[in-house]
Amino acid sequence: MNDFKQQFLGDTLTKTLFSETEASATTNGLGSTGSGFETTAHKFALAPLQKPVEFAKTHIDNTSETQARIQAAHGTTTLAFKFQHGVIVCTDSRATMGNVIASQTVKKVIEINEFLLGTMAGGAADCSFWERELGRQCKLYALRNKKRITVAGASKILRNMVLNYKGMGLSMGTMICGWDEDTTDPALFYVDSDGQRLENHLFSVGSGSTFAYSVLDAGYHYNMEVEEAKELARRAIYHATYRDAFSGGYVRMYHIKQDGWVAFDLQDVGELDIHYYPERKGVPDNQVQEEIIRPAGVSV
Amino acid sequence: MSRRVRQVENAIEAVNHGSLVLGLKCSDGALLFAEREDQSKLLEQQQEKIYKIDKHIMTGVVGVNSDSNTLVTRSRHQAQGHLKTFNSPIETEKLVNYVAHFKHLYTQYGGMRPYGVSMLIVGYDEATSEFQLFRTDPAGNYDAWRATCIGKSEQVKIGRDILKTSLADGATLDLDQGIRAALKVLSKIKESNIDCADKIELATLKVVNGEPTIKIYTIPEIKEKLVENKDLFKKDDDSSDEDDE
Amino acid sequence: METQIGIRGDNFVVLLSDKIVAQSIVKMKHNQDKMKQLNKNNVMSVTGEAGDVDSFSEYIEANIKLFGLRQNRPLTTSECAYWTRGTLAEALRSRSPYNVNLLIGGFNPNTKKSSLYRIDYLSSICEVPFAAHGYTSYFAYSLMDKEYRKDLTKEEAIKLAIRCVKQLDHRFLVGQPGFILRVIDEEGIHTYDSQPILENGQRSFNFVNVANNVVVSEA
Repeated sequence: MNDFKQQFLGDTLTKTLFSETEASATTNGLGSTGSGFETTAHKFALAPLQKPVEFAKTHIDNTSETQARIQAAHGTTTLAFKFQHGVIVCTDSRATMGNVIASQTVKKVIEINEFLLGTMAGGAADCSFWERELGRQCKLYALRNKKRITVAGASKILRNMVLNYKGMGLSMGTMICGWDEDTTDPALFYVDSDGQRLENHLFSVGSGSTFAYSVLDAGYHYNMEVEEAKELARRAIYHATYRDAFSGGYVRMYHIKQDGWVAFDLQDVGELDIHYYPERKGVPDNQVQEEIIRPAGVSV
Repeated sequence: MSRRVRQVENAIEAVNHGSLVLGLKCSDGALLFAEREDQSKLLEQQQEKIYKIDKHIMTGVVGVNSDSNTLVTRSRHQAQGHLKTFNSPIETEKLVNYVAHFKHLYTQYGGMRPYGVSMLIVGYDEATSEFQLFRTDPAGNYDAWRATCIGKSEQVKIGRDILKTSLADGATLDLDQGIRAALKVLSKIKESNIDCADKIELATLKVVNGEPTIKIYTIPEIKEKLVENKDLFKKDDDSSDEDDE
Repeated sequence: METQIGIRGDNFVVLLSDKIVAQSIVKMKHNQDKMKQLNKNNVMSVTGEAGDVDSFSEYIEANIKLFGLRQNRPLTTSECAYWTRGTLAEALRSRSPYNVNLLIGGFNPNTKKSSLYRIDYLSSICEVPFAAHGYTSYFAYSLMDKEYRKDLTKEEAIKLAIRCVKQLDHRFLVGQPGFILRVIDEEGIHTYDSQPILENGQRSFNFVNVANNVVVSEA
């Protein structure tokens, strides 16, 4: 009551109660008030400085072009495309910090739920944090509404969450892929830390994306069979890892079908190299391995 | 449990003892007519019942004067705010909605005194090229009228009867006829004579050269109108004399 | 690098924008519609920083629809433009300004007149007969200055837009290969898609009405 009076009788009256009250349209009904959706689990503390954004820019390196204290793991080739049998999601598995390969077995596909996959490009921590948070929101949506959230809705939640931190140093380029309940078409969205959200039939994200695009654009058509689609994705990632120093490791592949996604075995890009171009390594034709063998100690 | 809000009823009661304000939509404009409270001869003359809110909206108020001042000020702010954000004059209903909403808020919580004011708001909307007449009460209701009056219950009854007869069967009046109808109401509610120009207020809203124009009549101008319609008072005086005799 | 053109006739407005969404050197999307339909006779085309474009235009679109519901009539072009400008101006001095350039065009069914407003990211606003933003303006303005007449017909205005994008394609290093064009008039909003054609070895564009396949070409 006192709060009300204060607000009501004070100078802020016209502003808070009677000005052209605006809808919080940015959140598109999935926002912070009323609908039961929190935009995020909590608020991050910002650097206790006048300009926390400047601090983030100088101390966190997301590009390999600056020598900052914190070298975020990044550098990637990821791709996803829709075709007649669903979505193929394919990534490499290398993480670099500056000039160093930090890991060759990174999992750049994030399993949001049985029907939703997100890919990871840019800051590994940003991607996994926000996509895990997205998974939580999607689960809550399903519990509250007794049906799965649409891919469009999920990608918009993610967009709205990262938009709150626009310009504060987040680095994320992700593809949200899935198949909506009761629809005959798969869905594919691109969301990045600028707050950009696009829908399309084909995306590739990361430092190796230009190489991947060139292979994909040459071979892509909607009416592919599953094997042809998988081979196209594999080729695109392989050629990206061949030319992009920040991409490499293993080809990781997922296929999203109407009843959920399936994952396939990892494939070593080095072995793919021998498989595709045996003559380069001087390996005689009869010794080319037909089966691509999954390296020991690497889980899918 | 009673559904009535005592404070609001008190406020409405206050309005029901105020002096009359009459509003009327005419074929070529709209008008507001008001009777002033009896006041000391020593007071300077000033606008008291009818206020201009924007170039296309005016209001006539009945009730607690200090409350109406606040509402008029807020309405003027709102009108200018609209002009600033949209570069277009505020629609009459939008302003009325604002005023009513504002009054309504003071009926929602304990410890607050509702606004003891009813208002007639007259405006012209460019989008529809129509004149509008609205009434708001202390509870926060508002409604649209062709013609109505607010104030002392018994005067309101007389006023509405006269307006009802004048506008019977969908008849419309022009502004001159409207002013005459208003003066007729005046002649019936008070033992007024033709010298009461300083006891009433009159304002019209018309479209002149495509621009809505509000004219608030000065006392000499009101005198002129009274003289034009002096037959009302003559006849009335005569008839009342006859009745008395 | 994005293209945005607007041309106002007496009772119609033509808006044109490209379809490319680019991220650094990569075209992420080739068929993005950069216009928002604010209500049944007003359209806004938006270019600018990634993220801002979407969030700002969605916000404007939703609020203008909300105002329309509240006052039981759609907002006029001028009201849309001035409210948008105000919102942009408020954001400009806040912690999170929007970096967007806008053209708002529409038809007023009451006055039977059309109007076109140009708003830039610094929230300057002006009502103009024709407009462009960004690099496009360096190529298109002289053509529009030369060819614009008050009594331009719809076809002539579309042809003028075609001449502009043809010139962009010819001279501008990062010209675009495809455009969406909208005509807003008394009947509502008509959408056209571009169709590249080869004209004496030089690329030009036809515009095809997506509803009835009527083609408008420069010739």
